[in-house]
Amino acid sequence: MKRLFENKYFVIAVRVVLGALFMYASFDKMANPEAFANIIDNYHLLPYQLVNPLAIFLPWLEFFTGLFLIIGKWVKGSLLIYSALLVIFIIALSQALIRGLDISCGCFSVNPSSTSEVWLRIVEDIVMLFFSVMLFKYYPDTVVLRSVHEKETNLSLN
Amino acid sequence: MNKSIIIQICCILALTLAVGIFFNLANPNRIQFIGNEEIVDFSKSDSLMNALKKQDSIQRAADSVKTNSLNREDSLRLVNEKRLQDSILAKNKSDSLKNIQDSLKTADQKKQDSIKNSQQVQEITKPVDIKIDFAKALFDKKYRFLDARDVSDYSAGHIQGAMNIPFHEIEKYKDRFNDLPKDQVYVTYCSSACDVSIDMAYYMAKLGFKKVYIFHGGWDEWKNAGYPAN
Repeated sequence: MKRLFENKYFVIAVRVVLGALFMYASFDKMANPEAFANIIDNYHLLPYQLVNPLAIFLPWLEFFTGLFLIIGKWVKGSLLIYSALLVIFIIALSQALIRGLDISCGCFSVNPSSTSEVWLRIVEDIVMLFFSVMLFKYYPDTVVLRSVHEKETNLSLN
Repeated sequence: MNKSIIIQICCILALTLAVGIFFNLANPNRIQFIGNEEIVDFSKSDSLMNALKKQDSIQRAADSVKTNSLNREDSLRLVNEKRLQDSILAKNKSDSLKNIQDSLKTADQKKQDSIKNSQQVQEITKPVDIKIDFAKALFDKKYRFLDARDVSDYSAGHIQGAMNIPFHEIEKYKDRFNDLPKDQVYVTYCSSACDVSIDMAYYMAKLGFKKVYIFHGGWDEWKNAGYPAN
């Protein structure tokens, strides 16, 4: 597994796929904040005061996280937010499934007719979480990269 | 977690916050930053129930006046026919019939007025939250119930005569609204732990339906009450 995640091309592919998924998921929610707020409200998880702020900011958080993953900037920070969001999504979907709530997922679209099986969405999120965590684990720190670079420069100077 | 990751996270969050606020202000579909609390308001349910009871009593009174008048008309007609045959009260026949017809007309007018008044009470622009007693009263009056649950839930059991319009697949089923007259009374419901009946009621209100009621107890409460079901 470590070898796989140390492969440069594989890492780029995973970053782009994860980032693209989050960016794609954010567009419809950005355009229709009211519909997305209704979907969040239907989960019966948050007090009403937090529903609208979440409907406004969550799509942008998804968008920027996805964007930074794709362009390769602030990757570790983005991966951490990405993983945290996925954990929250998994908890929200699981509680809805357990409580038997008849709701629209709101995962990729705010259209109420775009429902898919909730358990399928949970599985998707778990798979994405796995790749996100593994990428975070094996992705080199900026500090480490810098120190390696500095070491190489010193060696070449010597 | 090292410092640089924390800085990265803070930068992403700050960016999200700034762009989110700006975009929401510029967005034509913007929403309030803090939403209003949605409270299920059953206050109208009781008053509407009383209005419906009042309407029923007026209608019953009007019906009884009409029935009495008809009986009177029949008996008088018989008497008059007999009298006509005897050729004794031929002259009084037209007058008495005219009086009866006038009283019938008055009773009819009274009934129409009472129905009109009660319909004005039910004229609503925003969907109204109702309890099971009012839902049952509307059911008894043969108003249309709309089941917003999925097809499988509807097939497993539903309120007798209810029409299924699964709100989760509204794009597929929205044509069904075209067949429904917009000035009629509709009651939406789902199960009990659900919001699709509310969503559908507001969706219908946007389409121009003026008399939409939301039965919050839904299928679960209806079934537990032992009311007519399929």
